[in-house]
Amino acid sequence: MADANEQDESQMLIRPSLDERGRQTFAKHLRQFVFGPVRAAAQRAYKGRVAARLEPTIADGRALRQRAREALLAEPEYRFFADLHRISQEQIWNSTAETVERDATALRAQWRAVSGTRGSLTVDPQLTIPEYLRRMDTHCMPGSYYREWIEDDLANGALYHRGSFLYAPSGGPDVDGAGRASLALLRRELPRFRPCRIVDLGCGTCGPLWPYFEAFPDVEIHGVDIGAPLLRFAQLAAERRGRALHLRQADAARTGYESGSFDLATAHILFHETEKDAVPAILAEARRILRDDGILLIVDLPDAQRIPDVFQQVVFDGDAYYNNEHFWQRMHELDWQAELERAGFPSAGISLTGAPMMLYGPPERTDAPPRWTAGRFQYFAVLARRAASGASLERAA
Amino acid sequence: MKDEPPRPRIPRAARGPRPVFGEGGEPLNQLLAAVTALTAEVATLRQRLVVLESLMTSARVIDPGAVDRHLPDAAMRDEQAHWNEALLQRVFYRYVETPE
Repeated sequence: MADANEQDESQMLIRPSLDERGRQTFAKHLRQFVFGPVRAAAQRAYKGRVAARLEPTIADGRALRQRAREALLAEPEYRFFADLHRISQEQIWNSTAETVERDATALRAQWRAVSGTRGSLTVDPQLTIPEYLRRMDTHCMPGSYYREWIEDDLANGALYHRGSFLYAPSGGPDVDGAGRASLALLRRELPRFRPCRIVDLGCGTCGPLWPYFEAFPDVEIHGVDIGAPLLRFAQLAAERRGRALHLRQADAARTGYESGSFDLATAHILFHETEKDAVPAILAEARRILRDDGILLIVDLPDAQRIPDVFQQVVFDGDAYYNNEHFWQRMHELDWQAELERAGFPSAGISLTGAPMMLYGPPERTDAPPRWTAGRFQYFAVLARRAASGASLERAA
Repeated sequence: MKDEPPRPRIPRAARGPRPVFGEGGEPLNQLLAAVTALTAEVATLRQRLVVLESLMTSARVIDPGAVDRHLPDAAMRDEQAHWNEALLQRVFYRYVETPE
């Protein structure tokens, strides 16, 4: 186990003490331990005691995954993996909460000093948080995306941003890996596409948007999220970077933007945190706010069914059970082609594809850029063009 | 004392279902969580010692390897023995402190 990736204070915006940083680093390493030796022990149990009696007898992939999961729940090694998985998630938030509690009022003062210098933020205190986000704390993060503990709070934005890095250090210290993946897909499929106005739906703390500022220097970027603490944190981060972000607290199904406002609408890791009934309205809203020939670009979790190894499918599906991610894999039970067509995207302009997961490597020298490489797994991805029926995706290029 | 603005207090438990899979159910899971949290404290303490040793070496307060070469004398060994016994008494009080 190695540890090449860490955030500095300019990236996390909080200032953990030595001991706090030690606990946070331990939480990061604990997760790597859970998904290293602990998962390997559970996999040996699966191969030795489960696979031979199940795999030859069940042809249907989904049924096999379900039976494999049931069988694994009788194996001590998998039970330990499942329990420690949940505990490692709790340690990510708990180790960070102490730092965030101490720094929250300072963050707020910094935000108040710079808010609106370049960009803008509109919060909606009357916003109704969707029921599917109210019924539990997503990711087991106490308070979820939207809870405010003090007035003008940034706390859960700071918690989410630091925790996201500890959860997946390979996504980079700016937590921008998903944006690098979507941008790689956009460049591959539509190399001549140059958006002037972009909106990111479910933008969170906006890490995925930093690569878009670099890729399209004159671009105007907007973001929508239900969580005011995340948006305030994103605004502070943007102002520190000298970037203008235009942010709005709203449900992605009812953004309030004028029709035809954007060339590109992105959604990074959004849909698996919604639910079946919410998807049609969000897709329809994305289509409404795109201009003619505008592009919808979705990047989300891979479909576990596409992973050949049944044990890995069960492991990958685990967050639905241990991490308050109820739609984690069920989003892949939707017929996305049909959903997009129902939302008004013409069939010929829809591409269901994959985007390479981009893995961060630190710079080899202090004056060199970080090294990003494509990993072996791919995000589930959608490109869809708003256009008259029959028009193909390529016309946007 | 100057009035400080109120700090947030973030709960250390998320809302939503919290399944337990291991033998022993909730009580053993709580113990596993406590052991994991204590392991984090051990790691954090060790990191602090490593930092201290590194800073003292850089400042030439001690020679590299001086801590590892150090042999406690009899008085130090006695002090550590007393300390260990008291620590074990505190940790295992449920096992060793029985009603008379």
